Amino acid sequence: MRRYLLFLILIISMHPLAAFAQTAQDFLFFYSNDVKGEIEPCG
Amino acid sequence: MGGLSKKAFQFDKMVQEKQLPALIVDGGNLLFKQPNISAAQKEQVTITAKGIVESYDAMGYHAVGVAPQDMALGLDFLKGIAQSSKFPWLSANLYSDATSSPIFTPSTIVDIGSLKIGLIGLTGKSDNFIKQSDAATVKPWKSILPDIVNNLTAKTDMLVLLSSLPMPDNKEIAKLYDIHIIVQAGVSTVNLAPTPTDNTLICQTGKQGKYIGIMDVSWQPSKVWGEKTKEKLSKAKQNLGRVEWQLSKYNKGTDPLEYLKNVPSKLRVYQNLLAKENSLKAEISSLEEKIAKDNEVSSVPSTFRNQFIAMKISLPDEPKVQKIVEQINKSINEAGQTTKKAQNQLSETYSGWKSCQSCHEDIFKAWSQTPHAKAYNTLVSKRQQFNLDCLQCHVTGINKDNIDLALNLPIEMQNVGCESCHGASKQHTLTPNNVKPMAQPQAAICLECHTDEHDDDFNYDRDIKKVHQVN
Repeated sequence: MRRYLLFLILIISMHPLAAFAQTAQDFLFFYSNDVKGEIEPCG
Repeated sequence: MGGLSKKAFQFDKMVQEKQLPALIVDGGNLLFKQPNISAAQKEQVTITAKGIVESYDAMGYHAVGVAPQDMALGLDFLKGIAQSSKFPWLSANLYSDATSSPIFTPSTIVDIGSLKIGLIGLTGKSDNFIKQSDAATVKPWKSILPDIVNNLTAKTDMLVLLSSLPMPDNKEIAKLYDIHIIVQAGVSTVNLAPTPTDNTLICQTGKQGKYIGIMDVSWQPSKVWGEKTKEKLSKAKQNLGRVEWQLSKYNKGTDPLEYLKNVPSKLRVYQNLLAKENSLKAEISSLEEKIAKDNEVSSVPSTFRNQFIAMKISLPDEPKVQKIVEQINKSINEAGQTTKKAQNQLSETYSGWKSCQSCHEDIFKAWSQTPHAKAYNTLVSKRQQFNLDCLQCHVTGINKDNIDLALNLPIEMQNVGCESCHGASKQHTLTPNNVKPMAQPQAAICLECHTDEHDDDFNYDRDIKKVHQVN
């Protein structure tokens, strides 16, 4: 029975869908746009 | 404001504070200040563009969208830049006519924590930038996007689009596809906080790198952006309490609809309160139902908190990127110093500040004490006196149309001299009584250099008095 359960767990973890997150993930999203060659403040 | 090293410092600071993985992207229009670059500017602009890419590599950018102005030095130049970048330049719809396939990487998948995030690029209209010889076409996104979204949705937890399409197109994309964030470029010059359209947040930062946008995201398996339901419920209940208290004043033992029917204005107020009460009760019921459902894991909504951080001069610099920026400036100045100089033609219309001194000694002395008289020397002290970007506003007689003359100016044209404000005065020096320059410049002349970018505290009425004695 234990072997069967272990085998079942192994099969499920190998399924492609198992690769996707099933729990929340916190992360930081940094974004910018239209920098247009600005490298440093003037002055 | 603005600044790559300050941006880098803020990224590092936030990551260390929050101890979270980070996704870093740029919507595009990254490399060039202007859509048209003269032959005189090309070398210095190339140095800057390559330095920006080096900085973005150092910061760990995951992707940059290909936007029209990134092609200001030509498509071949941008292809070369893309090959040397560690991050991909994304465009799913800029196609080679020869191969009928995308010139740049259409999309990519990145791992952020436990998430797989798909990044897609879409390039806006680029007629002014793509030459016939480039043999390239910006394809309509409607023919390109569906397959890419379907393909990526199957493989990822979240989709982000880097788009230089117009805002109406981005909104249409948000309605049609399950793309979760759109960072737009080339749409506006102001910050746009993430604005929900269906299940998509559309956002952008203001122009020229003066702000960075930072979202604290909590991404749930539901893949749905949520509202703060419990807070809305609490607010609705408070509002219901207020409405019920107002309604209680009408309870005088008889039906208010009866005793108010002869006072139409008060009857209307009472009826509005009743309608409001019903509406709030319905809202509360709906919110309570949603909260009950949200307690199931699969329905927990994703949330975000957004902030914009201004890249002020006072912010600290990240040392590695600061070094890159210093090298860019050094290389630009060296390139300007060794560039073959154009012959000075300004003496045909300009006379230089030395000529003004001979007749206007008092005003000349007053001007000598002002920052205008030291403007060129400021560049020399920073070793930027050959930087074409800076020279326009630190010398006399130079603008974007004759920038190639800026590297070969005589001393009397260096600094912001009299003619910067009062106009070219060669004729005035020859026939002073017949030809008079402008007595006092209008604000528009000052604002050509005292822009928000360079002087966000400029006030014409206050600051004109600082230039020299104003009669």
